[in-house]
Amino acid sequence: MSNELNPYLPRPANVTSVKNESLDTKTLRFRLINWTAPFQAGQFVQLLLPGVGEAPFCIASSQSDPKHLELTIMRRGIVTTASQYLRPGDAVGIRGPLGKPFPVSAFEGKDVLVVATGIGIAALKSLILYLVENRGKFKDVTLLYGARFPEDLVYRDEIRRWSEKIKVIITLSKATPDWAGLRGRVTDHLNEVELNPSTVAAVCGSPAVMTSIADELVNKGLKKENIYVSLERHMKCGIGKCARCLIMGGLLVCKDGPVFRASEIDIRAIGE
Amino acid sequence: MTSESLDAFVNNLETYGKIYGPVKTGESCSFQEISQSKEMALNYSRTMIPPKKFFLKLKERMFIFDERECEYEETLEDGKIVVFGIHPCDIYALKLMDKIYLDKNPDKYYQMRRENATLIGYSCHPDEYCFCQSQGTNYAVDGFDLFLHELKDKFLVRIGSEKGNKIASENSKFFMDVESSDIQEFREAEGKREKEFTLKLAINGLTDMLALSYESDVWKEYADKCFGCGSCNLVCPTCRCYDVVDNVNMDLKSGERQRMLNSCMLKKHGLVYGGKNFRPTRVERLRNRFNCKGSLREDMMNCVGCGRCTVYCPSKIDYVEVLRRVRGEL
Repeated sequence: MSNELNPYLPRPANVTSVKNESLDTKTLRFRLINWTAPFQAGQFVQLLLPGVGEAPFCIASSQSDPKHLELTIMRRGIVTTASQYLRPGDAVGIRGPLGKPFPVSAFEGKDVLVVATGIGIAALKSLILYLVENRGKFKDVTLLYGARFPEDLVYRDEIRRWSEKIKVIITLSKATPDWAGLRGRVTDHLNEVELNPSTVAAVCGSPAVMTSIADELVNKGLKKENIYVSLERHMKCGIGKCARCLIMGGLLVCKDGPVFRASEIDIRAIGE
Repeated sequence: MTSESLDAFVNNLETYGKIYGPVKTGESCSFQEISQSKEMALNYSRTMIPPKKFFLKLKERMFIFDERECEYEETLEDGKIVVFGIHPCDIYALKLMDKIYLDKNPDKYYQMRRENATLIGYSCHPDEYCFCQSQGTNYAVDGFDLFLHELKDKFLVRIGSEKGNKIASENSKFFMDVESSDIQEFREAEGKREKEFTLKLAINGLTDMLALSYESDVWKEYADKCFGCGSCNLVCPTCRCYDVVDNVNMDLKSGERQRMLNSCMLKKHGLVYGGKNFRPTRVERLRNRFNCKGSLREDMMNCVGCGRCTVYCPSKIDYVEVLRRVRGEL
């Protein structure tokens, strides 16, 4: 087969494990069959379920292991729903890695703030893992993670492990009475993070949240070029041909992103 | 080349593949397979469907899959073709497509068809909808194999590629050396043609102007007229959005993957999971299309000024008029 030549042909992979993260979210681990995907934090893959369709997902595992990929998938559409029924041993197709990663070398020696809301944390997990694994290269690292209900929180065990190395702040906007932690939106808790003009921020969440966080961080003195957002759009090709993921300014999320500097794009484009 | 030898030359082109030329069908023109040059309407203004149809099929199979064996088999098949009588704007449009489809991740299907095709350009005269002069796409410098400029009783032929050179040398009996009188005639004809353009669009800084007009009322006004039918996408020579679907066989295990052209003017285009639509109304979709066309790809704008979207808009939305309104000229 001429996979190298045809970027549209998926390559085979097997499901090795399935982990329930929350009521509607699972983390699937895949073993790549006779190929590797040397990826960098922030990149994504196209997951093909034969007969169902294809959809893009950010890689949610460590870039130190290019033979296995993990994807955290919330049940929402056609492919994501079908993926909930995958069991260990099932065959899928994967294309990737695709897109531009976080320029992690530019983060070195600086304070790093990672802001995730909801399932947006899946797009940032590869970055968080890189930060945790290479903790010595960075100054203060903070994860600010917001969700609605307690049961929406994912990666619970991992967050506990990460919190030994980085500062973790979790806040719930619709907390139940028994919730002992912080309440409110992530923007309410930005004050608890020490920010300085050289702080680098990586943000992923719903479009409205990303816009407000980016605005808020600019207000707090961060440089626009140091704020990175990971965008999501409907994609078909993943390699800059089909233009389904076009955003303002003629940029394509698959090829020019999914990681953008807030200075590269029109902030309004996040929501459109 | 003399005008009389055109018939024989076109017949000889069969050696290089099936010949397609502009044929009058009803009120508009269309690139159709032809057997002799008489069938062509070479003084056509524009075809309804641009020549992108030869390279990006409306619907095509990408590969077949079998879930049991986890195998994906691409389907590549296509014969050689000659596209005769293509205008400069459409040549530029294909050059734009090449930038996208033949970048460092080349699209195999497009590449295959592009390599199998011979493009023969043909000079044209603008009508009231052409604004290629403003877009700088009224004279094709390259991107073709041969280009025929119609003069009084002969053609001045330019060679644009190695393939074109090969065709010219293999058909040398049709070609004569260019004389100084021919150059003079060509110069006069081109000078006269330059003055024929009536529709003008100021494109300087248009990209920024569109970004600044994000909140403009003009979008709402034209979106109220727009049917959201997507005709403009279909006829646009630079529109390339496509959609992908899997068709499963009755065994539910094997099937094929198809791709088909898509339209950013349709509601589904901006839809993501959970029902979130990034362009929920026609206002956003119309603005998005104009922003896309007005954005730069390297040094070229995503519009070649062919005028198709204006001509074939069922709601008579004038592309140039919209941009002038955005600029505040009207």
